[in-house]
Amino acid sequence: MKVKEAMKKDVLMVKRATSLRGLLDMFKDFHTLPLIPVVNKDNILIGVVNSESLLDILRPQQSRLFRNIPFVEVDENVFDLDTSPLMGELIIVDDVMDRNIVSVREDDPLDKAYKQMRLYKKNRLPVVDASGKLLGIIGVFDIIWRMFKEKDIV
Amino acid sequence: MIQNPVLSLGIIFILGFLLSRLVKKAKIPAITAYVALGVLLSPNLLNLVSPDLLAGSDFFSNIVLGMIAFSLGENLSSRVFKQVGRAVTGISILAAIIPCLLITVIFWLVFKQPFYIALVVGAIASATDPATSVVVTQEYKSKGEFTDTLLGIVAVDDAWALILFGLSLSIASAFTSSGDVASGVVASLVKSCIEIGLSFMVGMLVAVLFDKFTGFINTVKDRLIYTLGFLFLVIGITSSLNFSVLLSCMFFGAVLSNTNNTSFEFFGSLREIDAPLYLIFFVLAGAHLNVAILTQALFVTIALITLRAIGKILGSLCGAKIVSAPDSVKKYMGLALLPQAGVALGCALIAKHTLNNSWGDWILNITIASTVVFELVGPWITKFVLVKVGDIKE
Repeated sequence: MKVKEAMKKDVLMVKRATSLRGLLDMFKDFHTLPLIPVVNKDNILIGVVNSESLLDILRPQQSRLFRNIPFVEVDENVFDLDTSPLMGELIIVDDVMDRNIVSVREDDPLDKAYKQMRLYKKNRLPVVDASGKLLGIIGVFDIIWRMFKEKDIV
Repeated sequence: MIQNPVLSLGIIFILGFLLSRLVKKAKIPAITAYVALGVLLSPNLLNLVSPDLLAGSDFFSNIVLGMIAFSLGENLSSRVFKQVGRAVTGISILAAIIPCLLITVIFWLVFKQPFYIALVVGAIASATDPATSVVVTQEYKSKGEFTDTLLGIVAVDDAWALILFGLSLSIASAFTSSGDVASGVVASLVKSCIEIGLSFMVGMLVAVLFDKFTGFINTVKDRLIYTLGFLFLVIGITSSLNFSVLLSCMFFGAVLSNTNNTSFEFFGSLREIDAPLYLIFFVLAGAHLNVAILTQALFVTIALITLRAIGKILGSLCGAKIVSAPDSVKKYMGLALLPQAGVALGCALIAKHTLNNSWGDWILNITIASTVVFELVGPWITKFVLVKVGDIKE
């Protein structure tokens, strides 16, 4: 079975110029931030936004560089990070998005998508075509649901 | 006296855990606590480190320093240099090279130490401690151009320090192995250049090989085993051929980071398991502290601390002048770069095992002493500087 048979094509996405406030408003009714793809004008996937990248903007500019440097351990209190009301308009998705994208192709087998999710510890992955155009999103529940359907449970 | 190495490891880990909790309250870095624990458990004092473990510190230090070098290689990528910027990179290079040169020249010409020993001491002194800078800036919510410059510098400068150290150690071991030092200067230099070139080649070849088979990785566990396997391969090949473990591991990391889109995952997987290795590594470094050597070398240690401070201040000043950085960076960056920790100790431990003579012990002991001093005063100096330049608002 292929990814395209299980993926969802109806996806909430944002542009790189969307403001932080716009982004937060858009997802205010969600309990957990879904995978939010960022696309350019040609619908090419250029990044994703997740909860961790939202917190990154409150940290010093260079803090991402220290993620894998030995001995750097920082305990932080997310309520104590530095914020200002102006951030809502000044910060845009382009400042926030994670450019390290793990994606799958629509023609990939479902088990490959499942393995990728396990390997990269993600619950959802963007689905793209050969040119990098965003086609949809596949989540771990989409795969589980297909599997139950195969077994005639649903 | 404990003979069983596993029992000794158990005691070290539990005491290390308890001590790191304790010192956290006193705001002392964990590394200092581990080194102190090593001193306390060393044969001189409580004698709780088993002889097998102490003899195996060569094994641990090769693996741990290989891991450190590999991780530091991650930041030698075009992406990071673009983020950090040309100016900051320039300052970081001079702030690493000038203290190294200053210490080498003074130790060699004024203190009359052998040239290659002075070179190794100088290279070790160029290392800084990113952890202190990150923790202080975060704790006091330091914000501004100076803070960004400081963090940019410490994100890449330990890589320069490791390169300087790799080069120096390669020259030093060529000198010590050639026996008659006077006759073998040119031969030693040629030999070390070849070794350095080959170390880079090993790193690069393994990185290419690594990239070829990543498609076989299916699980998170696979990824860790795969990464460790290739890293051990590099460390093993280079150490058995007497090439530079540091340079090849760092180059391996750098090539991987520039060529593989998901390389951050491989670097990240090592972070899951590095904490216990670092603990044992620093305890063993501390256990090698020899009070007799240190008392004899007290004057040299004080000189080293002073020269390193002068070198860092001069180096940052020159770098900042060349790239026309703001006055605050020219004036104060050197002071903010004083903290020194893991990388310096790791290099000193490697130097001890590579040189395998009394000079090795001497280097390790003065490095431990100077590191402890810099680790204890470093955070205060960094905070003082950040307040002075106005990045910490009080």
